[in-house]
Amino acid sequence: MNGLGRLRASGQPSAPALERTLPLAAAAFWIAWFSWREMARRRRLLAVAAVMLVPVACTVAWRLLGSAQLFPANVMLANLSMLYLTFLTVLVSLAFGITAVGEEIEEGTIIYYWTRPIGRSAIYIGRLVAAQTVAAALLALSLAACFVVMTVGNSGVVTSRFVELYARSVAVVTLGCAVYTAIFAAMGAGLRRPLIAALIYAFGWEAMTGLIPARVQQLTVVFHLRNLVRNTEAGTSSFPNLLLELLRQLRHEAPLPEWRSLVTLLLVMVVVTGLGAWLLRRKEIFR
Amino acid sequence: MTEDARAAEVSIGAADPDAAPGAVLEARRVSKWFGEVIAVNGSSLTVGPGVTGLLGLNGAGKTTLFKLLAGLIEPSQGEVLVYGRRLRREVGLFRRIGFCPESEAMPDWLTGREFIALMLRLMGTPAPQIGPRADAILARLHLADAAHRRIGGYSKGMRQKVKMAQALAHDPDIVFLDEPLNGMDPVSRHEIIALVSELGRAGKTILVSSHILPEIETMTRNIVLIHHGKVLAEGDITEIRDLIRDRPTIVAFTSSDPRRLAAFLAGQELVVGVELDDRGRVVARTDHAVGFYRALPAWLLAEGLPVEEIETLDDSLQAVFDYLVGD
Repeated sequence: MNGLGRLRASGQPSAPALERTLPLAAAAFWIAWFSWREMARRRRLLAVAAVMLVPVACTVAWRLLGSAQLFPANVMLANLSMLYLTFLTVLVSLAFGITAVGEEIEEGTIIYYWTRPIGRSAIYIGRLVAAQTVAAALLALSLAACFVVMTVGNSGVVTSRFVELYARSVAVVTLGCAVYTAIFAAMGAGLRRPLIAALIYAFGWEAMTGLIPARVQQLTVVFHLRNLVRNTEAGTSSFPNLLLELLRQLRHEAPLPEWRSLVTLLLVMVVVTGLGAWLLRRKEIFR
Repeated sequence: MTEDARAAEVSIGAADPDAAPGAVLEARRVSKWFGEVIAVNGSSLTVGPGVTGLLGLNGAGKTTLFKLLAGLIEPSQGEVLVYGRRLRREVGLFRRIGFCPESEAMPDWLTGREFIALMLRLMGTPAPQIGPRADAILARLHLADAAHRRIGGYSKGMRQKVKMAQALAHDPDIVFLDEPLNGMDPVSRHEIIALVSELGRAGKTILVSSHILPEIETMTRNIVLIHHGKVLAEGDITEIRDLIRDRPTIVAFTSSDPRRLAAFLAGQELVVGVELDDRGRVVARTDHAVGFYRALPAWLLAEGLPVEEIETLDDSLQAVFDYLVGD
């Protein structure tokens, strides 16, 4: 085959070496690398980025209307972080998670990965990591823009407590994004119509159950995310969190230790990632 | 004559499920069903080096058998072996396999070269070889000029070539080509046919699927007929062609100058009839499909006749199947 034949003759390894499987980390990295570029070129990115401007606009309004007297910076940031945790993180994760693997299956392009010497777990992990990082980057950029708007020409608000709350918010939003994206990616890999199930889960189970003042709310991701933010002084300043805190105290419930929430979230992420990879291994396409 | 008897009549060396010396691909009593629908039904098949055509009408189970052999789906019953091993359990074997799918889906946001480079990288090709290999295969398929353009902007024929390029770039020993000539212009068809024949002569194992007998005929004489999920016959195409000698092949051309094309074709000895159909296409009939397809690119180039797409409206396969199953 012309040049190809020459290449084989000069540099090809022997038959056993020819049949080596590509290491999982290397395969996942290259799949993630190209998936990032793909996601960056999809219109979905622009649509989600536009939604991410909403909290920034709220922060601008807060500055322009002089609401700082009514809502001090810590309170504003706490409320913003709740907006991110309870709504925006879920929304962004849904947009990128459900399509992470599901779109490749739906479009049929996954066949090009399936005919390579790589495990399907590597394909799954590569796509998932790309979706998680793009979604988390959008959320972090949006939070950073809010921080800039709140602090530029307003250096008085930058206290150690404010910085701590901001840093914690970014960390928890990033963690929440990773967990939700993993959940939605598994749905995308396993279900025929994942969007309906994902919407029911996100805005039914998570939104409703997460507000029930009983142990059942511990079965939601949002509970554990809130728990990680709540354990700061300013965390109780957000309105929904304040209500929950009052209810919890009325019931004499001890707050869940942070480490338990952290372990629970990491465990959920690992389990759903394993489940998603398993579903992809069993998947068959006929296009 | 019974179905089995007719199948045996045209068979030359049907697969032995217990021993198949020299077999590269082997299906042993493979079945695949989806719910209550049986797509492939207890088929056995052995494929060795050279070009083998997998022929079947649309819906015959050809694509399912193709994907079973390529390890993309798991058989409900039976087993599929590649070099005597199970591909689904040893994905490393994919280094020796190239797969060109029928599906039009491609990563449209990548350039042709980026796509080939990614596929090579995932094949485990050493980094210094990726660029030269990508360039070599793109040049071999006459896509060098379009290498840095996005696939989304490619014509149907170019997309088909890129699909082939990714299947061949790593110089595999086994190549699966699912309907590779779909939507190609005459010159590209000629190039692909020549390439497939060259690969077969080089000792590669090439399995080509199609629902159009004359297409396969231009690439190989060794065919497998599949009908209603069963391997009906395997053997030399001459024996199959004998069954349908008196049926003309019908070819439709989409052209910006249909009248000039029709007038030219009408003057050729190999063409027994020409007409324009209600979609404005030129429809030609020939009794010598192989000679017709071989001569076609030269005719079109020499006369400067514009042809955007060729479709074979061939019902000759149906005639073969009708004969074999006794309809």
